[in-house]
Amino acid sequence: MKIRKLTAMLLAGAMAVSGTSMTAMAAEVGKVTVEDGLDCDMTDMTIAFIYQDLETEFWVEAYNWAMANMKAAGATIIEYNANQDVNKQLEDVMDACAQNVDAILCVPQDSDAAVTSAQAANESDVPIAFINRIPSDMESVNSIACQADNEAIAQGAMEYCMAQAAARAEETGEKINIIDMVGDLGDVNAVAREQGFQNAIAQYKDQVGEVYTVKTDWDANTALANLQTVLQKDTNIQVLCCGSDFLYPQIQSALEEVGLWKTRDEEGHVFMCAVDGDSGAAALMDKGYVDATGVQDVYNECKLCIEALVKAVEEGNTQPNELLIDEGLAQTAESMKTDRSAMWGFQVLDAK
Amino acid sequence: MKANSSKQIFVKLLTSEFFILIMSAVYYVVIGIISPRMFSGNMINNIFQNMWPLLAGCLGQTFVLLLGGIDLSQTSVISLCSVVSGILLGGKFQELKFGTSPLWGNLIKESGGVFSGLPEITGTVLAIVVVLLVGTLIGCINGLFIAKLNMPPFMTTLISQMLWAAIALWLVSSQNCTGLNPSFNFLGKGKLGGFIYMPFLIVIILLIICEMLLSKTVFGKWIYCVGSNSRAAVVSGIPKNLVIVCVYSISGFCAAVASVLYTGRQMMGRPTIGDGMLNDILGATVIGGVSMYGGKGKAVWALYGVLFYCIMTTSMNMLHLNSFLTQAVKGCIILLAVSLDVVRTSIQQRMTK
Repeated sequence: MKIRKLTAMLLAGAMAVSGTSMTAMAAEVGKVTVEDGLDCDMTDMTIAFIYQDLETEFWVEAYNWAMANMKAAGATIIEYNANQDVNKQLEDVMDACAQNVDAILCVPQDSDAAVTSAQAANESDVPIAFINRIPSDMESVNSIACQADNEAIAQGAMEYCMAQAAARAEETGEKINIIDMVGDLGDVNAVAREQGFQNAIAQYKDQVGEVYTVKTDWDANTALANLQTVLQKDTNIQVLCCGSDFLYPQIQSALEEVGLWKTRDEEGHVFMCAVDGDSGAAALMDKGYVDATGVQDVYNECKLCIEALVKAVEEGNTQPNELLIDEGLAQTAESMKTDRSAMWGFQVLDAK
Repeated sequence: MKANSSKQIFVKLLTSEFFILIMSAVYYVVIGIISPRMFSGNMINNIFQNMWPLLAGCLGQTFVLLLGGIDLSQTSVISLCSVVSGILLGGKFQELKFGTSPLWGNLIKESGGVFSGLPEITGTVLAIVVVLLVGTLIGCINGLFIAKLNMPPFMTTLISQMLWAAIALWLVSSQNCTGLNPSFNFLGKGKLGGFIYMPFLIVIILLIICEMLLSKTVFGKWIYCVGSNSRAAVVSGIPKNLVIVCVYSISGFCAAVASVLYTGRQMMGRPTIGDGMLNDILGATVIGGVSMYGGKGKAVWALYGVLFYCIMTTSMNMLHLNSFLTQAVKGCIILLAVSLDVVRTSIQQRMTK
């Protein structure tokens, strides 16, 4: 009986403590300046901001930028954190519709969940916009959705790395062996990035040796285990590309084990690139370990979505249907010397 | 005298089985005064829509708590049953996503799931039967381990939770199974005749059955006896092991019903659909007054608890509370509910002496 009582108390206490500690953490990362803010007036507008979680820097920055700029534009914001619970996110959308909000800005759990959320919003005639993840079935629902041109930004970053590796290979006569770390191929972003990497590799097909595909499923443990397996077979690697820069800690761990974690000034440096553009990647570019990053411009994606939502509200369009593309950019070791702040991760890093 | 009568009224209210129902009404009115939108038809409709799938899970948990046990595996049962629904009724499966699934090429193919070739209603009915059987079977296995091997319910159901959650992910390579039959989705979000919400109908029938089982049958009395004093129950000739197995089977069955409703509402089978629900299920059940000590509670108390829980959750959004504070407040309220259970039990014990 004491164990049951203790279990119940611990369960409830854990909930209380986790909520309080998350509040403190959110306050710490809330450093955002309102520059290049919104070009719209949101006075008298009530916006529901519904997000899946705030566990990665990308989403923390999206949250901070959107909240700060919508408030500055005069909006009243109701925020909902689904904590990665897709049922809760649907209930949040339904709750927002019941509260007669003017519009919903949403970071969906995934592309499939976006379809369900969009359907609920469409049934209530509330305009809805999705940041960075588009509904998997755009035909069946009406929504504003913004997505980065993942293929182009991944290709741009990888082209830089391949060019560097090719130049070195011409001097040494070596083949270019590549580790390609692939994300969850159920995620449209991962598929597009992989295509971008392959496009760049194809341009150097005569110089490419082995291409090792490492499955990550967007999971750190899976990525580390599979990467270590490949490195046990072959440590003669010239280029490494990865679908997301949140896996750099695992990449560092695996490359350090085999003595391949070297800066671009050191012999045997592995030319590396990934996609997203967080401050971790920025720091590694500064130190010389990472050579290029395909940047999803998180601030631009928020801006595009919010401005499109406001336009829909002003026009009385309750079911706007629009696909917005964030062109992003490829930040390289060269371009960061002249235009550092183009990558949002450098802005975050420099603000710390 | 006045002080004594006030105290008596307070004690009577505190120990009343309608305490949470009264608190729900009072809380609703107070929040409505602060934020009048709570009284709107849309908000009331929303609260009720969110209640029914959660109540299905809570009913199963009620049975287990009455026995003095706990079932942590309900969330995994919900996830696995959702996956089973997807495998059976899913539309087209892409090789790019499902190619690494162990079921690819045999149970799931590009043309669809197992029952995708059958007439729609037949496929839906068969899928529901299979899903309910899967949930009940998992509950039965839990019950057997607890009854026959005398394993602690906490550990048994925790291991079960880990196992079935992993299997759910493995079966579909962590992918969602979309394109379910419209008739299946109708169970989760449709309205019969245009106005009777299907989840309401399904869960009310389940509630009535559970309440009858607990209050009108010998089996129900056995559950209370085993939960109150298992040794005395055994001495009295009650088949304790049979009761345990049946109760955990009922818990699995109720979780499967919840899975059907959640899956229909999402219109897809999701291997992680049950993640994060345990706090809600346990919290709402305990708030309703079902005791974690065993032997005290009713099926209808789960309804009261879910009602209060859903009103509370909705009110947090109405008050525009920071989302992190919402979790903290929910935790505090559940902590209060558990503490209140201790106080109420203590008062009732003193009153009966």
